[in-house]
Amino acid sequence: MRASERAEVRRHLAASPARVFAAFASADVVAQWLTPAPDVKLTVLQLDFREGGHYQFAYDTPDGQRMLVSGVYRNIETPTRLVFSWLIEPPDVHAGIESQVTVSIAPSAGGSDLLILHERFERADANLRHAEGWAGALEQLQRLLTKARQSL
Amino acid sequence: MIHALAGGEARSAGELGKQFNSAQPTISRHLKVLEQAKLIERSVEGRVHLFRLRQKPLQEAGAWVERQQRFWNGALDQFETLLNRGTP
Repeated sequence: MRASERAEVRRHLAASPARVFAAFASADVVAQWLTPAPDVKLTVLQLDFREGGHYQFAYDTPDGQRMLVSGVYRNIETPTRLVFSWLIEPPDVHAGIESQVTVSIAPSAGGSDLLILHERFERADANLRHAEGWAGALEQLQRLLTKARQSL
Repeated sequence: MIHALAGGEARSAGELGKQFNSAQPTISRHLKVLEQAKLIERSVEGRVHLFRLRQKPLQEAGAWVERQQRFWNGALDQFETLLNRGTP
């Protein structure tokens, strides 16, 4: 699989790599911060923190919507690197898109540098991308044909 | 063709044929390819087939990165708040 798009977030944190890493590893701690905004409540339905282990998070927004995210921990290298898959479940607009999160933690100036790389894979939108390519090619062909006809 | 439909209004195959000065079978073939690629959608009114650009797939492709970026930035803001409180 090839990454087609990526989101990248970097942050310097005033905590040791071990402390930052630990924040991803326990359901109690994850529930306190791993949400996009304070008013989006996270319920950790499952968190089996080992390679091959599954997690499932439920996000409840103030307007009563619920978003479910699930995935598998693929690679765990305490306290520097963590890789897990990320799948938003239906009926979300981005449901079914396969993506992967890589968390890298390095010691830096009394704390840690954290890098979160969230990559989306080709498969889910391959049809669309190919279609865009084809649409472009067809338009060029059409322009050529029109030109050829006008010059006759 | 995509540009011709970009205004968002539905156009008939006949109108599009006139605009491109192309034979109807050529236009129909192009429309079919675009429809199969889910870039346009077709509605039938009587004997007239109307085509419209599908807005959602094109917008969706761009929105994903922005959403995840927002998600993680928001989560890290909360993580920093947690760190400042001395937990975990």
